[in-house]
Amino acid sequence: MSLSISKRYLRMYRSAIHPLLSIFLPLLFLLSVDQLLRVLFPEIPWFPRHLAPLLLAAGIEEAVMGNLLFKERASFVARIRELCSVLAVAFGYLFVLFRVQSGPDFHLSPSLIYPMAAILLQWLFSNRIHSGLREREILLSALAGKGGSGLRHSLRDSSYQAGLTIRVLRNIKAAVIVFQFLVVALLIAAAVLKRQPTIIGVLSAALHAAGGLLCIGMLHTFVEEQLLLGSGVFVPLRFERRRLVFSLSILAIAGGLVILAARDASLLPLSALIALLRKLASLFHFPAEGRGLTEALQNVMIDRRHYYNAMLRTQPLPVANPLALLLVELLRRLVTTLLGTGLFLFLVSPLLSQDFVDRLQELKPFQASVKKLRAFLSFSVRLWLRLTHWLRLSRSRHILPVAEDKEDKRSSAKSRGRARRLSVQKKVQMGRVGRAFAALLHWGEALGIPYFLFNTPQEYTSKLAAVVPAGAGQLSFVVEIFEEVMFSTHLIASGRISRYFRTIRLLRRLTPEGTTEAGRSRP
Amino acid sequence: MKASHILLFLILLVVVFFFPLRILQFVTLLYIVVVGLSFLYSRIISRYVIIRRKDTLLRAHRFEPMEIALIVENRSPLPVAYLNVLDEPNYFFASEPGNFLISLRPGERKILNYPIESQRRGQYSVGPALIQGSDPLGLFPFRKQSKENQTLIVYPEVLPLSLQTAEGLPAGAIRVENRVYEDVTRYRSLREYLPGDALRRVNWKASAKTGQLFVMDYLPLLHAPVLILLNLNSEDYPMRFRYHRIERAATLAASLVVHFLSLRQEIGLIASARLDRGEAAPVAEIGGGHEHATALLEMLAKMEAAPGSRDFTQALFAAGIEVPVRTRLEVITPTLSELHCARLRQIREKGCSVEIFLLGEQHHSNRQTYGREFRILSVQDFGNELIYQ
Repeated sequence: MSLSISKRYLRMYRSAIHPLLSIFLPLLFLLSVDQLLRVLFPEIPWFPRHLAPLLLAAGIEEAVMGNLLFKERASFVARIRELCSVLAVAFGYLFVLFRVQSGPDFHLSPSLIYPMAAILLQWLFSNRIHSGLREREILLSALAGKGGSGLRHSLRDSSYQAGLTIRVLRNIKAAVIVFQFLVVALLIAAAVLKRQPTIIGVLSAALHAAGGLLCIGMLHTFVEEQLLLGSGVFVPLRFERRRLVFSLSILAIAGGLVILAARDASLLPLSALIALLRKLASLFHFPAEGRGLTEALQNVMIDRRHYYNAMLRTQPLPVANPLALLLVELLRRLVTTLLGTGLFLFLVSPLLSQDFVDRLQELKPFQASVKKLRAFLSFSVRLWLRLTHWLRLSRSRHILPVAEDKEDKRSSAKSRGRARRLSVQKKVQMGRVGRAFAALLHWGEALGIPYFLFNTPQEYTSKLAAVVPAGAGQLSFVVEIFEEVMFSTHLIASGRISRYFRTIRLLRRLTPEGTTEAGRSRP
Repeated sequence: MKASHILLFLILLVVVFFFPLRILQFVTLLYIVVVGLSFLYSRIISRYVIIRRKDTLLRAHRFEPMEIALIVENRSPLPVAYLNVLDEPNYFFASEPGNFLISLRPGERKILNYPIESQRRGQYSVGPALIQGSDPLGLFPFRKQSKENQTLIVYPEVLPLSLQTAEGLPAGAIRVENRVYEDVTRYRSLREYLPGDALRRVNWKASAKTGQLFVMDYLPLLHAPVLILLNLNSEDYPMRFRYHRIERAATLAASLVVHFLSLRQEIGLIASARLDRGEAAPVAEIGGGHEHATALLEMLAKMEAAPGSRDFTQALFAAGIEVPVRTRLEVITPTLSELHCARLRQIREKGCSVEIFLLGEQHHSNRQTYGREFRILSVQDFGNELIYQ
């Protein structure tokens, strides 16, 4: 049994358990609320798509970026920038979606703002929960690798962080309870209005309730574990797992019992409760003056409203000045432009920082992308050639009759010859090597050794070596590579090819006396 | 349960009873049942998980490691994810504190051990042991304390001694060279007759069989009852190293008890000290056997230094215990005055031998003054060798 907090334990909490809690707590809550609001207000045109994928994506983004930015110790501004980017992406997605649906007359509507608000809430809730649980991660990392009295002393040293963690865990628990309370309140409202939630609404509410209880259990476990750490005892992972299994068992047993008991009918009518409440209210005698005062206030409010409406009717609407209208329009456009520019600078300016540019230079994205593109193109060409070849082969196989065996054999030999067809890369390599060799020939001719077509590369280079003995070895290497490239079907390693080019460059600097051009004595 | 919890429970019940919506009833009933099950679980576990001690009484010598054993038993049909068991070692030094995290299956029993070391002589208690846990969801945490404590008696440290015994009563258990103490009941061998041997020692049967005179040879054994007189008057000890020397005196007394027990002698004890906060001086009659020695060691373990400075030799006469002739009186004291010596002389005149063990810096002067009269041995302040001549 491990007696101290291991790296694996920390990593598991940092990359799995805490992010999952921070994603699913708000997700289940927002989905339940969304479904129940749809049930309670069926007249409102709701966002037609289901929110779950969008919210899940926002939650995952927050968790992943939160972990990455925490590693880089990014500031709060980076998170705000990230939120703006998330909202911008979400807006872009929704814009495209609505534009496709509603055509060019697209405008901002509540059905667009609603999912945006939901995404914003999901991100914010996730962020709050995740950053709260981050305090626990920091505490655990401070205690990692320590056991017994060392663990006790470390926790004492980190007492501020420990206190903060406990406070944060309690806050998260309070948030979970509030979420549960809100969902139950919406369910009560649905029951009073006699609205039946959809199956997704039922499922999300049930999952939210069970998940909330499980989460409360986990938060209690975290607090208990921290108290145990204070007395030098570390709770191993297998004990935690066992406790989680027990919690799930309790929830499963309770769920099983409750499914059997819950029904769409109440044991007592709701009217009985209202009658009881009325009876209770009648026990408290409110003073008559109080009632009179309320009525007087209501009357004053009604009078004021009437007066205001009458005033609106009697006063004519002012005719707008075209210059003022122009000014207002200009101002509106200015504000919009400023906002857009500000947002652009806020999101894009960090990308233009020196660090980022240096990183870009280091990565060489253009070259890398060109390389990738070239590889992709060559692959595509090869694939296309292969496909056409295969198609041609298959067609010819079907067409050939049995009597034309000889022709078939010839065609298969031809196809074998075609199979030896060189790849594009090979051809490119051959072209480059050939050009370099031509440059060598040119150099040789400049030295007074003419090249004849009947000369093999080996013969010509041996003549060259006789004139320039210093480059004999290099010439033999060049010939070797040249022949391999030209008379083989395989690709030569890029390292050897670059060496080939380098050798030719060096050779071209040599003179018959064996000195380089720089050292050549001029007459 | 808090009032807010009860109120919440009532509200949930109202929702269940009055609102006809399946999902609402499901959610509220889920809360109620989960909380109810957690409550039941917590109650059952806190009631049926039992903690007790393997031994209620432990004995050890000072600086000797001891093992405390706790038995935790789950008598319930429910498994326990994990429990924290905490035992308080109180005055003892525990290198690994008695703090455990255990998981229990239904009906499982676990024994938890942890070592402690006693730094001080005396009688102490360890515990109470505590169980902390909760239901799996952590809604109802509980703490349970074991009712029984463990008593630990820490005897003084015992160190080896080498003391010579030359005088005593015949027919004992200590082998000596002096043939005066030959025990005629402890036959050793036959040997040839030598001039000067008493005729009653001749073994006539063996002589008749061999045609030569043979005499019986017996083991010379003596018996020396021991009475330890321990001075633990705190003011008789100088302020410097007082506690240490008092402990050293107790160590010497315990070592004498164990030494003479190994020689199968009878031992008694008179101390000018306090026992169980009482005023009466601790006294033990001269007796033999392991039980008696254990009682003496327990007495020495529980003994505390008496306040003030009294005449410790007076206890010898006031105790009223029978001191047989030839008893070996072992006196352990830091000081020796003329008055003390006068009383010790009286004892010696009654046929007892007196040996004085002196602690502290005064032993040189006392040795010079009374060294010719009594056998005086000095007690070393430190180390495993207690005495030197």
